[in-house]
Amino acid sequence: MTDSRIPGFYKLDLGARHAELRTRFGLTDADLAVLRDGGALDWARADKMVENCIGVMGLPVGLGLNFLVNGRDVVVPMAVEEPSIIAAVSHIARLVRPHGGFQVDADAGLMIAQVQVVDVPDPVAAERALLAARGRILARANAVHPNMAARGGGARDLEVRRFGEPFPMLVVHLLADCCDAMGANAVNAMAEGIAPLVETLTGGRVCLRILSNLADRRLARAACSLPEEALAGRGFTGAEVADGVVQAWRFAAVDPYRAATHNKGVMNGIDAVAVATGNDWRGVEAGAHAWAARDGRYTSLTTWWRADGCLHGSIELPLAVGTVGGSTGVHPTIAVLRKLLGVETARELAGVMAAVGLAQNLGALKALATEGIQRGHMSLHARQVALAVGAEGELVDHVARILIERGEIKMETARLILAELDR
Amino acid sequence: MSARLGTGAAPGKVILFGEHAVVYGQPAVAAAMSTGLGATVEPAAGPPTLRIPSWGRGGLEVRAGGTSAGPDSIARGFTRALEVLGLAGEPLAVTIEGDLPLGVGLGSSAAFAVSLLRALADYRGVPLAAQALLAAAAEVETVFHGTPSGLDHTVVTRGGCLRFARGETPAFRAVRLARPLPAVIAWAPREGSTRDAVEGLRARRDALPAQYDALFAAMGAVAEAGVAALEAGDLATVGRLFDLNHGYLSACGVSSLANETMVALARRHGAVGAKLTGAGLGGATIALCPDDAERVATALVDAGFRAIVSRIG
Repeated sequence: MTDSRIPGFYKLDLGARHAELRTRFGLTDADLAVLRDGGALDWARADKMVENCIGVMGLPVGLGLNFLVNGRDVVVPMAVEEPSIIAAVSHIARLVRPHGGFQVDADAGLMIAQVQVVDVPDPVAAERALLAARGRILARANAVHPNMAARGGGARDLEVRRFGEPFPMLVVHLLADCCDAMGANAVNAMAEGIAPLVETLTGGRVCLRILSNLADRRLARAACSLPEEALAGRGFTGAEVADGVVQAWRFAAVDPYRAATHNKGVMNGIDAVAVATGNDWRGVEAGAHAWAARDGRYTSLTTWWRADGCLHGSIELPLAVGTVGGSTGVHPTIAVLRKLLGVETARELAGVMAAVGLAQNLGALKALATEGIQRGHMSLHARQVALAVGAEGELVDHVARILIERGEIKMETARLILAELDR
Repeated sequence: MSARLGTGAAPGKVILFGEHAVVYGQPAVAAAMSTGLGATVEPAAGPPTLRIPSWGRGGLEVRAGGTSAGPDSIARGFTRALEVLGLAGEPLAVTIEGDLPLGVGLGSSAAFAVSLLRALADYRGVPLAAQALLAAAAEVETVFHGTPSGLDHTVVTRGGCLRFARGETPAFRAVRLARPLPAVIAWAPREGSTRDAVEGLRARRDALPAQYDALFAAMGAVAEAGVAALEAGDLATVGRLFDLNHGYLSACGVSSLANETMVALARRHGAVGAKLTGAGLGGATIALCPDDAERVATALVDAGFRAIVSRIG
């Protein structure tokens, strides 16, 4: 196990960072060359990936450090263009690290394939017929993709959902364990494969046959706790910061306008790992936001609360990600980053991503909360400066406000403002 | 999830090169198909039953221990599989499904055995290790073939593409396909059994050993060239080698009017190569179709054959 704590990594120059990667993670010169060369995905290969290909675009890749996940050190490659994300997540991982790090777990790789059936003469009888033929439908789905079953996965169960007016239809859900693959191709093929049988059993007409990105049978969870004192700093007590974080979370819990921004912060980290590991981050995004609205009102993906002198946080969201298949095998940079990350299974990867999302969220809430407190401190300071230069009565507030607006809480500025107001 | 159930699956197999010649010591190449059979085990009220709705006229249903309308070999295979896994007499119902036809040389009996064993093991909650699965599959398959060569259930259990040579150690070597082969598999009823095909060829060969052995050697060379082309992903060469191999098999007398018609139709509609696969005398044909597999499959179906599009390897 390689230590995920690399003190002063941010201060090293690029060459020295690569030297660390070589000694700590055994990256080869060839691996490092791939990382250095932003165009490691060559144009010819890119042309086979998308249509009308005209080039290749690079993204910075950084390392999220200090992560302790289920007692194991993990360095997290993150590909993202936005500054501060990687610094913030590493800062939080470092705060949490001495207090047990992150506890994570993730469900098996169950994906949902949907088969839409319309023009069903007797929906109740059709539902009964589908459920009675569950064994046959599952067997047919597995016959279409025997490799998945050979790896211990495959179609596992069947559900039928009935929709009434205004658009009556039956929707068959095929639940398939995709093991370490994201599984889009496999479940799409299975949905295709069972369609004729579904038509025969229901007497209806099959329209769509495709996976659902609301992968709510493939959830990942992470939790962390840290003593409030650990949050103290920059003149704030730990209790002040913990309270600020919880207030910020409550805001997101009740208000969708805030929750959208709150969850965007969560996904800052999760998407960066999805991109770095060659996963479909649009699918991950779609699943996360649909899950956040599962009760009919969009809310926070995370929860933060105070108890026993500690700040506690948890997150749960669908993470349909894979460690095999898809673009994971095509892009040379992804192969190197996977080596750094060192996780083998899709479940481990989903757990790490959940931890990153939770840490990223705490980073954002802590910054927002202390910024809020800072403003409070600033107005106190400005009032003191205004009083010191001789302002009285209503003028104290007035001068203090102008000082804050100008961003210069200085005696000299206060004197000038007071002189102007007195004139 | 609702009531406890077990699921399993196994792919079908095709011989890409070297059928028949393999009996005379030449190498053969076989691969798993992207399609196969799936099995589901559910709890039931009575003694074990097995349904295969896609096989036979209107489906097959057998009871463990015989006494059924279905074919004896399937009932015996089912009974054997239950015994191997210690599930004899358990109240369970098995359903096996898939587009893999029975008895045309696409490994259906091996896929039957392996999918059934996997699903039963999953139902029991104790997975079968690879080696135990292979041994159990060989045992179940015995009820169909007497003494199976091991080729079918090895390919079906391991998946991928394998080179096989009798007498070499190890007998099987993995062939790493550069990419899966886009293929159409078509089939017609068998006009003779595998034994008929093998014994007929044996008699012809014994009458003219030098001439036939030269054909077998040529097929061996095609198989070796085939391995190289498969690993390089050179589909044009694989197709040409299919055509050559088919010609040699025709010369051996194991082809039939149906096999010749399927091969000719596939080539005419855009296949880059086609050959009979398996023992011949009817049965299956494989056509390599990198461009428009659907068109080839449609032409074959329109001519009265059964056909499916499948990826091989």
